[in-house]
Amino acid sequence: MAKGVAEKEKITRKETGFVKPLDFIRVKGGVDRPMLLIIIALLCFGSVMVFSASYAYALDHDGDSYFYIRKQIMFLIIGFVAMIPIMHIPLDIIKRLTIPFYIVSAILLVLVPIFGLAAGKAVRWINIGPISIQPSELMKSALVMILALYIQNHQEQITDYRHFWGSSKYGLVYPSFFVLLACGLIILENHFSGTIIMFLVGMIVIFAGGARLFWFGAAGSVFMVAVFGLIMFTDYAKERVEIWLHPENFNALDETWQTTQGLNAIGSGGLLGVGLGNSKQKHMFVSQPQNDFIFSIICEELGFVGALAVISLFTVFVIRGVHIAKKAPDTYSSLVALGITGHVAVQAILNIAVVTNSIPNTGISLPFFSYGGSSLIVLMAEMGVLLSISRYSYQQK
Amino acid sequence: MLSVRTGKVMTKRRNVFVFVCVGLWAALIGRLFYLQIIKHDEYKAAVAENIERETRISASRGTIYDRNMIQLASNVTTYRVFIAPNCIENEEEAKLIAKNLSEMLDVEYDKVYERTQMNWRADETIKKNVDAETGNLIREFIADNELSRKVYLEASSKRYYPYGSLAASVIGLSGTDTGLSGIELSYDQYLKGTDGRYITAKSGNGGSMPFKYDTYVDATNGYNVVSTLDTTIQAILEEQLEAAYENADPLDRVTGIAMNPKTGEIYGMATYPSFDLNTPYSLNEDAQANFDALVAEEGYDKDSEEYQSALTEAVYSMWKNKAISELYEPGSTFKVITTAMALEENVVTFEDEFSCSGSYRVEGWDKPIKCHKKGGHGTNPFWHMLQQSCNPTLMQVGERIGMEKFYAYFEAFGFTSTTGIDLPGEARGLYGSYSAFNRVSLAVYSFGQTFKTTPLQELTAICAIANGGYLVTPHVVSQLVDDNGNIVADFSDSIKYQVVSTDVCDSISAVLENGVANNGGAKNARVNGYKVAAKTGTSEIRDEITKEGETKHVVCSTIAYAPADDPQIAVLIAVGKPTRGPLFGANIAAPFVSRTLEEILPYLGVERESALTDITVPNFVNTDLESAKSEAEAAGLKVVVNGDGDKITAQVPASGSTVSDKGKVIFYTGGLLPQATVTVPDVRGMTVSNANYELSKSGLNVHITGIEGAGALVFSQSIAPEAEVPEGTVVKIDLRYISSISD
Repeated sequence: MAKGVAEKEKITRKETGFVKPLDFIRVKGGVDRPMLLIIIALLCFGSVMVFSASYAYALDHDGDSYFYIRKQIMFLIIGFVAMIPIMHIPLDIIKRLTIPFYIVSAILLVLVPIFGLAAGKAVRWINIGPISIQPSELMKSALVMILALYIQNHQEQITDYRHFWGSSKYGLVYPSFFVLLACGLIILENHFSGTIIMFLVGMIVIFAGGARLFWFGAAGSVFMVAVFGLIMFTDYAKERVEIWLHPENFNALDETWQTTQGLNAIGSGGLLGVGLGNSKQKHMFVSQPQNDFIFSIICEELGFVGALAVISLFTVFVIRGVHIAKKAPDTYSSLVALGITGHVAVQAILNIAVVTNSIPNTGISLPFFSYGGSSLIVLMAEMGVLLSISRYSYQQK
Repeated sequence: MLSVRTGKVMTKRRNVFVFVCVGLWAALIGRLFYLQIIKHDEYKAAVAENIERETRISASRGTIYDRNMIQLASNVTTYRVFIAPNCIENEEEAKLIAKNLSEMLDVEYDKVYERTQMNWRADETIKKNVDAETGNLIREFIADNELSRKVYLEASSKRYYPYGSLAASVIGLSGTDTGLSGIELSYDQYLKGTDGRYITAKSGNGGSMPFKYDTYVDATNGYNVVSTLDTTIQAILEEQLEAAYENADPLDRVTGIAMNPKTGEIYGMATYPSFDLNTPYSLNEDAQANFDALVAEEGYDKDSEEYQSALTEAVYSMWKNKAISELYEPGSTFKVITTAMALEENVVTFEDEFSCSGSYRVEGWDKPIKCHKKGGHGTNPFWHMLQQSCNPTLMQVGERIGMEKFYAYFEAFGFTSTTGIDLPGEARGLYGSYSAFNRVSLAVYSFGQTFKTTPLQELTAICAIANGGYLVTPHVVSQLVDDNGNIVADFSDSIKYQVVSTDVCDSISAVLENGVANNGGAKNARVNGYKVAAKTGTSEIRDEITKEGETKHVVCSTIAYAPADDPQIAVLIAVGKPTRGPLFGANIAAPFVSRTLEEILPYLGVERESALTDITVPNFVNTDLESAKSEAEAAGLKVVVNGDGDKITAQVPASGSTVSDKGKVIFYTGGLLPQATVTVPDVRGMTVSNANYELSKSGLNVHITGIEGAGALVFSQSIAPEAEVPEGTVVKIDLRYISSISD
């Protein structure tokens, strides 16, 4: 199918000798160039900020200012090595790999708590050789893909709104099992933020797949109740909320330290920021500033303008991601594209909301920006899938 | 593969998704706008506060100088030596540090070693108050062994008092940066200066930041204080206070003040026993004995709270400036004030005759009030009665003044207020209110009993008589000077107002001077060659009374000023509870006032009116006999030669000794040396001429000191009787009026 596009292009050029501006965007390989450029822009921006944010911490913590940026660039290269082949995998192969991928991810998720028990604490990583893999990251993609596959196979029943139970059953109840299984496994890791992201990403795909709107009202309520329950009955979540609402009750030097210092960084940035590299808060005030709280350093160094730039990039990413979903050849690929876009969007929104103390603090990284080796590789692999789908955008259906 | 229906639904749903995302982002942008634009200043300030670290730059405390710019209190650098055990890398290093520090700082090796092992600590003090010299040694040690992150020196400033105990209670002492007593306390606000600040940026864990962020606010050093004290006069005074203490063996302190009667400048002020300002917390011998007695009596345990509070109290009481804080009844010295009131009011003249039968009856008191002289002073003019310190006479004078006027003058002379001296802790006198004032109070107040005042207040009142009637504010500081020598403040203006007229004062001074020069009660205050006006006093201490209602102790005091016609110096010495000798001010205090004045007056450049007869013996050893002979004779010395050489090998008295008129010098030539061949006679109790005759007869030289005058006797001789000494040895004899002279 990809070949089709390329051949068509060749013929056009051969015939007319005229290259339209759109042709330049539509690369030979057929991937969506604007999306590729957005991704590269996000990765470059992210890397620069990882370097700037980690500089002081790395010097203090590891005695080497380049410690994190060096590793980040290494992972970036590995990420490209993953993304570029994935970009070229034909869609039907991806589709065929969906079920095994979901099963492998689920098995890995089961293994993690077992290893964790052995280590005596909550563990979210599995070390395979030199790379540590976070199975929950894999599971997000796997969930998106399996939901998309399921919905494609049952699209007629799902959108047959004349039958309430039928559409409800296929549109929500059955796919929810995939979501709940994934969430259940992640919750075993006591990974609160991961669970929420997983749930939201799953719901986005189910929603986009056409499930009855009625259930979203209901599911929204259930979700609220669930979150409320979690907050009420798990001490960890309860404490987080308590800190969010009443930071004054906590010793500024431990529980609310990160939040307070993050806000200090954001607020002190002002309109134009203190300048790239000049953050004061990254000097051991915001701890591990290259990780979840990197956005606060962006705000401090580049100001409101820099923050707008980040949000704009994500917005453009979402719009372009939705565009790819719109142009996708079938329900499966459309939903996968939207799920991946949704995943990035959910994490970006939640991360910024956390850093600005708009919601309680929980560990959510900012895609493309936060330092994190394996999650960057997984993210770029996802982008590979997204770009792979984009290759079909200009094919006639 | 994509159903049309599903496609339509999905398009809608995707739009909802985009809409929700954009909506949420818009909300977050709003939030960011609030944080970054609206609350920007607040957060910026929070960050500034976060990263700012303030280092205090201590202002250097001002120096205290005496009137001749001799340092009385200054600062020295001391060090705190500490180690960072968490940075010590290995056992070898720990041992090296422990060995060297223990040797240099005189701390036990084990103690230092123990500290090097506390590897969770970043700051373990090894020793404080290390002097600069040792500090330099340690600095070298650090440099030589590259231990700069392991061993540290922290410099700080410590107050240092070069003269130790001299004027201790006046100078006072200072804690780390605040004055605790004396000038250090009363001028603390000027001495301490303003600390500076060094503001720098620090990272979250206290590390340095890579960018420039410094603010430096300089420290303003304290002003230097120039006091009115004179180290020489202070030393003279303290020496005589100690002598008075040794002489009378008092249970209480000996207090003395030397001040300029015209300006109120305090030249010297002291209490014996004193304490050392550099070791202010160790009790002096006396205070220690009292404290030990108290502890023994109360049975305090050494660790008990009572013991500690008693010790603190003992230390504080030792620090007290008794000249301004301890009250006493002035006694007869106050008669001068009563006299001034009467003369000013023209109710009496010095020629008026008064009678004394040994006691005097006052209406309102059932017993006659006694004079110190049982037989009475007979009938004599007032000037004589004042010189002899007759109580009935003063009572009668008081009656003539009347209660109202007396009390008004009592207030005007400052007895109902403080003198306002610039020292902390000045006490107010104890006196009856005017409503309770009656004829009996008037009678006893007129000779200085039943009310209390401080030694300084009494001296200040007498100074008003000395200087022609002006009440002055005594003060110990004359100027504040900054580091560049600019005078910041001047406190020389000290006259409050005139109390009595100058004529009255002059006549009183003349009468007092006449009494000292002749047979007045204060004749022991005489200083050869100077006109001294003086009044002695002995007052009862009414606080401790025997079963019979008699007082147990007295305070013996003398106030003198000289020269009487143009006073340059006024001196007070008060001895509390003396136990030895005739217990009168004239015997216990006056001789020491005399000696104080004798030394101070020449120092102040006041010339003696009569020529000196003392000869200082020059050096003749190793000179030719003939030339030595003529030189000695020219100096007024008789010459005796032993031996037959041409060169003098030894001489008696030694060069530099003082010999009174008609002395002789013995030369030894040809290798001869002086032999102890003469027995010193006992001349104590003899008149000066008899003593001189006896000593000369024995072949000894005489050096006469003390009071010269009819009736003055040898009180002590410098070489004990029966001692064998070489011919020509100088025996110093000290003359005074030995017999008890009541006042």
